[in-house]
Amino acid sequence: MKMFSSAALSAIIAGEAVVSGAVAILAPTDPAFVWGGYGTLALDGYSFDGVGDRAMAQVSNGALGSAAQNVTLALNGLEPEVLELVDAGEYRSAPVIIWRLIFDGGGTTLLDAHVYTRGRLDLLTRDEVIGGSAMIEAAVEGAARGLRRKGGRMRTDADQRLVKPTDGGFKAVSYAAEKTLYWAGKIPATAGVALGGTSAGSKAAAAFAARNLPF
Amino acid sequence: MPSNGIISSPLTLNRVDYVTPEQGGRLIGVTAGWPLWQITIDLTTMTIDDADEWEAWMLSLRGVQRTFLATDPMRALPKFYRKGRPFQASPSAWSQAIAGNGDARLTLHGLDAGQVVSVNDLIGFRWSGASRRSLVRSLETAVADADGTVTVTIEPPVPAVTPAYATVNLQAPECIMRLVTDQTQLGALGLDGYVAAGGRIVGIQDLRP
Repeated sequence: MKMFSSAALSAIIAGEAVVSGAVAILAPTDPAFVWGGYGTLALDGYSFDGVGDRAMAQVSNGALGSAAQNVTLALNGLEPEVLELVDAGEYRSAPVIIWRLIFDGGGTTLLDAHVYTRGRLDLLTRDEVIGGSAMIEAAVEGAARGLRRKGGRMRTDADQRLVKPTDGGFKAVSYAAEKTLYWAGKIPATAGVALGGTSAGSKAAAAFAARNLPF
Repeated sequence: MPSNGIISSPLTLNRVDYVTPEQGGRLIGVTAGWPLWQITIDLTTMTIDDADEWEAWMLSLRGVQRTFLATDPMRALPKFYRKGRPFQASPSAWSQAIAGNGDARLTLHGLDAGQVVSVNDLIGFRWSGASRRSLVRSLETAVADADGTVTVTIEPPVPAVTPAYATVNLQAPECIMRLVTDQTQLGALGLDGYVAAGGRIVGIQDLRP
């Protein structure tokens, strides 16, 4: 669980947070440190060069229990710091750390900085459109993929019993997918529509719902 | 930059917001990155001689390669001093404090006693031999005290890249911009000796440390 500092949380709730990111690519001889603002930022003992990019890191999507997703770093506008990055062969599979930065509304005070993901550099795509934008996309694969796992493990019975040995709340959970809950909306035709899947539990729930149909 | 034929040139602060309206109507969002100044210059019908200056100026920029200095022509002078009253354009020192509610409060020292900083006046910063600049705008009117010190709320806060030794400039404060080429075009040449209205120059701030 990633926790925001209380100052950052209150800025987000107030709707006046400025978000940015910082990326460290820890290549053995020539590490690259860039962040999304202007000027130099000191963080966790590293010194980051500002590339002035507004939306640097993007996660396409992610669902509980599904395959681990790559994080794509898009660097618009080719700055000298970024060009170095593309030309160097040593960046292959280099370790990457991505921080999420939350500033106050004026963008002057750093309220919170925490590691968003750690992984290794996967694909480095260079995309140039003549007369259009020039950008570099770097796909960063997370630790789960790097360890040859198909998905990031979210929560299992074993995990829960590590927290509390007598808690068997997850023992029947074999699969955690995205569920849609209907809150005060139209009642779905069957529970299977609401909950999805055809596991034994949902079949039982469907039977239960069918029993209560208003004939 | 040429000044002929401009019919409007608003200098606006450009922010990128991610807004998430909720179904209940509540609006919440975060701002991605820092705001930048943007200028949109609209040109009117001009004689070919006047239009030639724009043409040459645009060619000299080499697309997005070179930067230019842009300011708000309506605010070349502070509002209170438009009619030629003398004022101190170069304060000797400045400092910024962020108030509890997030407002940036800029204090200028070394102005004339009683000098007025008006609402919407531009305040420019220069450093590295004026090759680097940043620009802020006053949100309120305030009068300098007998020592020539005045404090006003500004927006945006002075960008963090502005070093403490940067000098303040109140006369024609400019910011460094680059051309947004895909939104920039000049009016069509008419055979009657005039260049049609509809030319538009769009620039976005190039903020560098």
